[in-house]
Amino acid sequence: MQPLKLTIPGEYWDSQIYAGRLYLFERTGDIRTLDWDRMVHDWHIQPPLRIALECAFLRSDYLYGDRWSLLFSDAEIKSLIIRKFSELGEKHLELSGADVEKFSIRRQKNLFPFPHSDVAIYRKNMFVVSPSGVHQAACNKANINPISSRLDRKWDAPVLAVDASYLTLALAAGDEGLYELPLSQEKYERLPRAGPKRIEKRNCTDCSWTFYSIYGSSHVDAGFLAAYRRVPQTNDPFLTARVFEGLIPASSIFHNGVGYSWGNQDKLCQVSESTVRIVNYQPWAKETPERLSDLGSIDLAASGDIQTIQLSPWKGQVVSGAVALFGIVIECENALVVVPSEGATITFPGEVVNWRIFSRSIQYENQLHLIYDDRLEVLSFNQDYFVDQNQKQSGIRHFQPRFGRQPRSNYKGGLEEVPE
Amino acid sequence: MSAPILPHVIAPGFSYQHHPGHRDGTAGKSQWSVTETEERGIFDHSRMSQWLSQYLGWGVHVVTGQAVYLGNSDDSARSLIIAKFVASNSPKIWHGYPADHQRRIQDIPEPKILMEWMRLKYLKPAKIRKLMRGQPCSL
Repeated sequence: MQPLKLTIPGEYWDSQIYAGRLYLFERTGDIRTLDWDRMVHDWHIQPPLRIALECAFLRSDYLYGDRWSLLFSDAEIKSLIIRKFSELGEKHLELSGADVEKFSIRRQKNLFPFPHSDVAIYRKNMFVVSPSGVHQAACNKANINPISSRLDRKWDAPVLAVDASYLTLALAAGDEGLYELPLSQEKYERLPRAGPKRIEKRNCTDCSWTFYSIYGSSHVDAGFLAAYRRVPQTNDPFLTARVFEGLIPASSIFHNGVGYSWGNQDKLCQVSESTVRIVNYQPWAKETPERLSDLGSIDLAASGDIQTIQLSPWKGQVVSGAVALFGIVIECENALVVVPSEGATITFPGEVVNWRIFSRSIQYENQLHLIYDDRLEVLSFNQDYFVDQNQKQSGIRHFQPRFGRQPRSNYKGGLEEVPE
Repeated sequence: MSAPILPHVIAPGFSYQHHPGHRDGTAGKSQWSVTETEERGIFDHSRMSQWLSQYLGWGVHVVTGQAVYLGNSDDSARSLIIAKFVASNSPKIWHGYPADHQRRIQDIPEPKILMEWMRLKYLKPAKIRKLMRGQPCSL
């Protein structure tokens, strides 16, 4: 199934989507906030295709999970749903310049350092990192400005990349290493007592949470996994603390393989020349052989939980990578490659200004944003609803939401997604 | 004994001295691929463009309106795009070297400089993003 595409014209630097709003960082130095919910709801489409449109762009969570497994086991029903996505894929979905204005909530001056290196939204707060440090502002819909004009500088050190989870910012600081910045559970107005903490001193150009651990990527050194375990608190069995276990170098994870590597949740990837290797990560496994720290002694190729994917040489050197629910994304110098959880590899030729997935969101996990010189393309992947999540190799596994991980209509800023 | 390397006066108050270590293959030092004359030209361009602060500055080698490579990484693995200039204290003499944005985060210019290069179209936005993220960036 080919991804759907919705095009928004304009010259953008970056994008974020969160809680019904699309934040567009314009290259002029402004931030435009679109009412994404209203834009999709108001889109003129034939009624039979409405469900596909809404699931594709508003509710990626809707078709996941056990509740539909009985329905999807019926080949006719599954075929009907797939046909709706395919028919929607034949439509030309593009906003006009007038529509961009119509659905704009506000266009405000970007008070963050600009251009920035990376940005993350976590618990109604936007965290922007750059050579000028880490800045935070609220985006909680409580202000006239979609992004509060009250900026808080959380750290003054240069940072390349950020990822947020477990009330903590993971910060890639290049040759300064990987840092964690704990956040206050109440408000994010002050640094908590601990401040930034260096987790690893080796070069780190990107970082991503792998459950309660963090994977650090680098182009000049090998990547590494900062492995943690969860320890239940004695005073409250529902609370756990992250306890650092140690660093696992990429050479141990990928059987002495060499190359750029990255991870997200249960999938770790490494590219070497034209080959990408994928390794499963299960930090909660009780038995040592099932945990990543012992992968060096396990023949994963024989056991079937490692896979290789070929990259064509013309696409050039690997620039960056990510793992989403819908598959693996590999940015090369001359193309962006998606290895979907089901179906053939998809190549998007050309160099992108920026790109982004939203694997920490609830309702936009199927989206891939590609920013080109003159537009944003919002791609929606919808094949993964029908994939056996226990067997998939490309893409992170979808886990059943726990208490608190609800769609936004009931969203109360709940707990992290953690498998049992 | 080799003759001392004398600084060049680029403009009143701006003296520039070539650093031999960035041209003789010294281990651990990035190497210029442009001539000394071009190196001084890059510095002067930065001076006139006000990309120099008191003791730190940034530059690019612009040819027909676009940035081109100006050096190589210390291990010759990467072609480099940005020049970093630093000044000694007293007497104030500038020198520079090709900045390796992948190896040292301090070799990435501040956002307002990069914004200026993007506005002037010396570098495409995609290249600016890769420089800012410490990612491989080829022209």
